[in-house]
Amino acid sequence: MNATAVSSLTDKVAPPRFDFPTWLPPMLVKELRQGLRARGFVGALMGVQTIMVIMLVWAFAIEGAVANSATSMVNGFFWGLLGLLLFVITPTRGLGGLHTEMTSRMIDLLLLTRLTSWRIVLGKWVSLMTQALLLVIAMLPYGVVRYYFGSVDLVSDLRTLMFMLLGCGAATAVALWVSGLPKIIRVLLPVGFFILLQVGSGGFAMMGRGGSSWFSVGSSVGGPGIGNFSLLVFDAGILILFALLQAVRRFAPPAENHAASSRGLVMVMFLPVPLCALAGEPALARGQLVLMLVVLLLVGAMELASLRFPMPVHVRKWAGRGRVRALLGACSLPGWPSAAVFLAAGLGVVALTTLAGGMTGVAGVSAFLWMLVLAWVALVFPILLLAMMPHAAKAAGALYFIIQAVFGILCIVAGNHVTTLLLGDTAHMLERLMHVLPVSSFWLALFGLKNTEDAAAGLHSWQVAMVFLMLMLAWRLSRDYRQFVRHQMKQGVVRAKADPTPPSA
Amino acid sequence: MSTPLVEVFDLTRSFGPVRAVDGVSFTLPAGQVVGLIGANGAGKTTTMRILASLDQPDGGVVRVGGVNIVDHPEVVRARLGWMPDHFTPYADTTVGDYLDFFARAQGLRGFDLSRRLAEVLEFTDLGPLQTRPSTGLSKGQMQRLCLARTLLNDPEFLILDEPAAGLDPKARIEFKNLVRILRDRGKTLLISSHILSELGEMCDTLLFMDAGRVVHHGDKESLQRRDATAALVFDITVHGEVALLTEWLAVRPGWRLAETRRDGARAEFSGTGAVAVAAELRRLAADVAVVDFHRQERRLEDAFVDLLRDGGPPSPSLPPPLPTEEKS
Repeated sequence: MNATAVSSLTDKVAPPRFDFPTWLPPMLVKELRQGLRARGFVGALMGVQTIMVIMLVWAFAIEGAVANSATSMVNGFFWGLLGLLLFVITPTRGLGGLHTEMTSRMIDLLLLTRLTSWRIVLGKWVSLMTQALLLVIAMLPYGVVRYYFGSVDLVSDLRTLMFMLLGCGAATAVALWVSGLPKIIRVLLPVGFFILLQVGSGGFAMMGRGGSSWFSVGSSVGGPGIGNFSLLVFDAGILILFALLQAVRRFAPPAENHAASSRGLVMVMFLPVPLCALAGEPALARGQLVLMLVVLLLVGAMELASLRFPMPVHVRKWAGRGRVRALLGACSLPGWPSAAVFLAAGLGVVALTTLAGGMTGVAGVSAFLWMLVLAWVALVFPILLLAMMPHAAKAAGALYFIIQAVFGILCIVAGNHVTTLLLGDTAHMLERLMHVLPVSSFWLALFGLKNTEDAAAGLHSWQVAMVFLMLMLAWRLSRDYRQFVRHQMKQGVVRAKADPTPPSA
Repeated sequence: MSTPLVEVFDLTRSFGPVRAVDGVSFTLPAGQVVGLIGANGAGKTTTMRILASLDQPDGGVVRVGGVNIVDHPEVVRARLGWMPDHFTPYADTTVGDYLDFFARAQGLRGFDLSRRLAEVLEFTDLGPLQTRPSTGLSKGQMQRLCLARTLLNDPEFLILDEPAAGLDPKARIEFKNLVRILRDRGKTLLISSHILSELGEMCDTLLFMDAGRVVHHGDKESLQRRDATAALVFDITVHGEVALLTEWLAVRPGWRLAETRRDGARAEFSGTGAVAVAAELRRLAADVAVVDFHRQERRLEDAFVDLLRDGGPPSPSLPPPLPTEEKS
């Protein structure tokens, strides 16, 4: 087809679109086109404008009579509506983000283009945030009108607005993650969150009674300051990336290994620790280390809850690239044995930092290090149980967390000495067992319920024996996995030699 | 035979204990239209999803244009178009916006983007519908939109899963014409469908799958000739009760009822020779009020049912063996 014919064809049937330039990412353009036409966006925009206009007219009307009341009303409506837009409407719109694409299988069509799964999710998030920003901008004129009524601190307002946008970004990213989860989990999630709050508050109550000091390092972090502010933005950024990454994992092609990115992100959280220590902010360094430890345990649990083997393509990527990279690969493959190695490495980093002085404010460094060992055992134990059950593979994720929950409840029961009331003489034996069994021994150590009497009774040596038992079991049960990885590594070297350069598209 | 564009060797894929694809091997020559046929659960969709790089095989090798689909999926994706059996358009999006998005997502920019959009809009006759919401299209228009999207990257190899499902007769004819034009332009098409007669018309070769295996790969004629001793098929129309005919067929040795109609039935007779047929016709006419009795060509559906009943030999057209290290 010659150029003239093409031009006439183009003129006839395909007038160019001027709404968004072609250098903008396609996914962002598509989401903005859809989003700006959606009833949710247009309704929110019109609704907010209407409410603010009515409220301002009312405020002007009563201003002469009760000035303070008008000021507080204007401020209340302004911040209340902003909160509604940023923390309710925008994340709620994100809740349908991936669900529709996945149920209609449109995601397959997207993955067959040049868009990566990461760009798809990022496009959705940026689009939602752009629309949230548009809604905020549409509210700004009313923010200026607030000057008329007085009591406006511009710097404080801008800071608040920025934190709200950051919170909105995190909430929207989490909403996108949730949108890709099965319906049952989306329903159970708020219930689980409520239970977690209850358990958390119970744990803190136990902590107070037991005199634990692990969490006290976090309480020193707070107040204004550039260090605090930077860390807050950094950690919020990590949370957003982490949530978006989990959303990506819901639909990414099986050939993509996002376990590596997820684990890498946790290790990135460690970077500010030495920086804060070097900058003379030990409290911030400790706070960041504790936060990293909490996220490490959370991600460790999520990564361990799978009995699947990696795909050959995951392993072969690391083949023939030296011992260091092979070791990195071993820490980043999907599947529980690799996750256990990663968790051990992460806990090792925390332990080394503690020994190097990062946790000097914590009493009993050796007890803290022992707690890290118990944490590894606690997280690995349920998957070892499941690995011994041949039919558990399909529901390994759910069963893993059920086992954790059962042991967690047992621990709370034992920790609160309820057993004494319920079981009489056998209670003491049960409590001793709780100090030895993998999951509960960690929780009891964390909440500071391991008293000197127990230690004197030889429980510590039982715990050590349990740790060795778990290590041996993990080594034995991961044999097939290790053989598979070794075989695929060899295959990868052979293939890399046979086909060193990829063909061009 | 022309150079194979697609080579599949010993492909396997399991979902838990279920082996969805079990050692499938075949080649697709460039510029051919190939029909993929199989009952529900035969492994068609899994095979097509692996060919489209949407799923990973547990074992075996798939090459498109000589490129291994597992090692270089992005290269293969640039060369193929995938039209799924289920298509849901985006809400709040016009036909033009929908295609514009996918063209951008395929990496097209500027003049190339406008030109390609114009070409596919003209080919699928969607130009006048550009400003229509994509959710407000008829089933036939939606299929054309789906095909337009599939063609945006000008693929060499198109995989169409049940493309004619739910289309009215007019839309089906239009669709068949589009397939014909695509073949004339040198595209290779793999089409899955349950409407076997249509596949017979559109396709150069047919690939039958059953229980995750290829049970036949060849042209329509080879399938119909596959069993030289196959029963003769007769179409019988009767006056009055069809039940009389079906009862007669049930008790008479050598006959098998294939299908009943309001005014008659299709039946298979395992005997051979004109004398035997004439004798049977005389007996039938004596017992039942026969209005019409004529022999039919063996239909694809019959051949398909026979294949499923008998099983079949693996496809004779296996690609050459691959190096041993790739067979893992």
